[in-house]
Amino acid sequence: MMSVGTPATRTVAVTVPDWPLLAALDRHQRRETEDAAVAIDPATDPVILLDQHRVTHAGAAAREAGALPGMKRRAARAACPEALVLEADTESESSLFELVAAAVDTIAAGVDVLRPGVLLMSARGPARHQGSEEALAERLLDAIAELTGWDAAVGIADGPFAALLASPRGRIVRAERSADYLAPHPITALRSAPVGPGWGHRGQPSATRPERRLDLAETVDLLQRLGITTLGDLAALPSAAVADRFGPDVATLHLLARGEEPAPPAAHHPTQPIQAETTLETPLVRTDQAAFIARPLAEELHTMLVERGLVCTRLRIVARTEGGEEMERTWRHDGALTVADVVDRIRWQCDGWITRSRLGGPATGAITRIGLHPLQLAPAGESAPALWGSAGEAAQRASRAFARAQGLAGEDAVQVPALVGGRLLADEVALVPWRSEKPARREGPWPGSLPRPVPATVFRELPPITLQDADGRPVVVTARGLLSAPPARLLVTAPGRAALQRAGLRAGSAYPVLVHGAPTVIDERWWAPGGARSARMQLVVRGASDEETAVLALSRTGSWALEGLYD
Amino acid sequence: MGMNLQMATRETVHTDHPDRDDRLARARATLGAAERSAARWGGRIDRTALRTVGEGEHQDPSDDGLGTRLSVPGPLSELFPRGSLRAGSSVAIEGAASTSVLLSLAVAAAGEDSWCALAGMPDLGLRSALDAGLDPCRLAHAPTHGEQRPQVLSALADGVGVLVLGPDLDLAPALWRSLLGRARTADTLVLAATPPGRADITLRSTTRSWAGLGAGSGRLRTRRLAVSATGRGIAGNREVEVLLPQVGGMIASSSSARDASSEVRLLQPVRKAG
Repeated sequence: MMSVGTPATRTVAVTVPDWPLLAALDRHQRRETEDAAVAIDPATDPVILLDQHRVTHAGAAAREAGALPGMKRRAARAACPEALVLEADTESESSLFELVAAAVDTIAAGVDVLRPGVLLMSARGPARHQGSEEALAERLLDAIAELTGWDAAVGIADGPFAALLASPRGRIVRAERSADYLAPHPITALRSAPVGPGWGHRGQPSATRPERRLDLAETVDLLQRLGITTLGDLAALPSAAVADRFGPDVATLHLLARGEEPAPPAAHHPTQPIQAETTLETPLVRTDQAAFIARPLAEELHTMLVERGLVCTRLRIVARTEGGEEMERTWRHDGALTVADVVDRIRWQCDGWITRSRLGGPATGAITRIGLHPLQLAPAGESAPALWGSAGEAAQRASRAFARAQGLAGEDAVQVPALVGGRLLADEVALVPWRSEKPARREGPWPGSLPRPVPATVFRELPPITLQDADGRPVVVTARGLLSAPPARLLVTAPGRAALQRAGLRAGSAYPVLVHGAPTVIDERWWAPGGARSARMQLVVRGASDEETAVLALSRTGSWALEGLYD
Repeated sequence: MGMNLQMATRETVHTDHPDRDDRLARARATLGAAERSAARWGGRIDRTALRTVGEGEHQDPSDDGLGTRLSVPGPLSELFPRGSLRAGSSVAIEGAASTSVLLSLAVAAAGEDSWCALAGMPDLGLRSALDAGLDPCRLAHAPTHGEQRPQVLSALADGVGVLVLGPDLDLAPALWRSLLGRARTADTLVLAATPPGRADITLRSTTRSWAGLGAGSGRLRTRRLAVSATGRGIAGNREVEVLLPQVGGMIASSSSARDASSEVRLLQPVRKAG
């Protein structure tokens, strides 16, 4: 969703003005059937809608009386005491809007509900079917009025933003004139731009971009203070400069203001969400129960995907417990997740949770609900087998073996390296279970990191050693990062490290140091209370087998340990 | 498949178009290689690798009726019969630099396509494995503790191209034999540090000297290592001296390193394109 514009699609926007108000009114009227005779018309009767004690919408009559959106309940009631006060309910708004979507569905396919009250679809096909865009708009309005009884507004333009702005006025903007249509609009029109939270596929965050809250009001305010008063002003700015100065979100707004639309991510977004969920009648307490539940659920998802010719490359498994806690985990897959893969992942996730609760973790209650949500879908054609030779055959063979190993011994049985970055050698590369999400890489710089060659053995638990000078006194690193005396002997203090024994360094014995480097000081997080100061130094000692053995020693809080062994 | 094509080539030498089948075979091989690299890098140009001149057009250890041969690191090739390893064979590694030798053998044998699994190396320095040239996209690590260990190891022996068994594994001799049997059927190369039983070839390494470190100055740069081999197909005892690690963390022959210091090495850019 960066500032890569594609030729804008001819788009129809259908909006129902003041939809939350209408939905709340509808609910109110259905609840009080005896008052149904007293029909309330929001245009003439004062109605205000509250969400968390603030007015979010006010009918025309209420606005005239002085109750404005943003007021507190008390102020609004004082301004317009005779108004009917309704509470907002997003659930019913969405469910009621399905009626409108269904009505539009009778005219055209591919309806995309952006949020309750607004839906978009492609105009080209339906318009050709109906004869013209005017005819399409008319048919849509008729269908909605006939099937639901509400008044909608339809706008048609190139790109979603122009269509959205055109729809309350019922305009049809001619092809390739969206930029001209948008230009005179005030910059505050950006508030209705289809970006940021609350937009998109039924309120789900985008799968490709981590959702950061874009505050449209703040952005508009900033642009106004910079002297940008119309969409035309914004569109006139060079797009690279906008992206540099304001970041990707405002770059998307800029793109929309120019009448283009952001290129959709390469992943496939189905118009209907694909997901499989099950509510467990008997809550889950044992691992083998999970396997029984997992298979039909995975098969259901697989059938749905096969019907649509898709494969799932990223899957989120959500398990809800009695206590209302949700544990979710995202699984990534380079090929396609098969039924067996999904079953295994459900089982591991439940397994881990059950084990944790048995080991005395925080009590959460049994699992009552499991849901599978594909986050990334791709057309199945891309994972077809190779044409020439054996490309990918080795990878397939290996993945079958790894899947089997993980099925036998749990997800930790096969791990893959992920470069995460860090100061110490053991932190630089992390091992994560095969096919699980890899941790993000922490970009350096990492001052004090070791130049090549690095030790082939890196201890996860550092075996303590003592360095002594020629007189048998311990060698320490001074505050200035220097050695108190040149080390002459290395003494392995703790017993039982197999790797050390093999290298000829036995516990309890002292070995002569042949040569040593200068200590490198590592100031880790010196600005934070958890910071530590350490120093590392390379040494070559003569081991028990009379061979030269190179080690990497690490000094921490005055005592030495071995970080690595060049074996 | 390669063997069939070659045999077909030999048979058609007497026909009218002697080089047609040959050209077809070469075209197929080229397309296969192109597709393999595209599959590995997701069809994108993913990295630009530098290779020294002459290394790129190495002799493909081809099929000679003795099964698939896997390449070995150049500096160590004198140790092995025919300068390569048979797929499905086993190598035991003993001595001071066992981890480094294991890694460098695994890198060469995994080549461009095979997967590599490491088992029983809890304290392996992963950065040194990557520095040695292992592809992190084709590398798996199996901690292998717990009661399912034999099954997990057998599954790995069936699936990967190179199975590396670390020194901390403490295998039972029966499991070692059954793993070798499985690996022989699946054409998996088994590299093991101090195995409990016989292996086809045994390498033993001895550190000669470390270079680069002074008295309170410098840093470790290279290790001179003597590697000797005994085993099947090797008469007596062969020994070579190599630099492992050299300054980049890889393996180099100790004589070529001396040459390299005197003359400028040419680098040939090789672009990994999809």
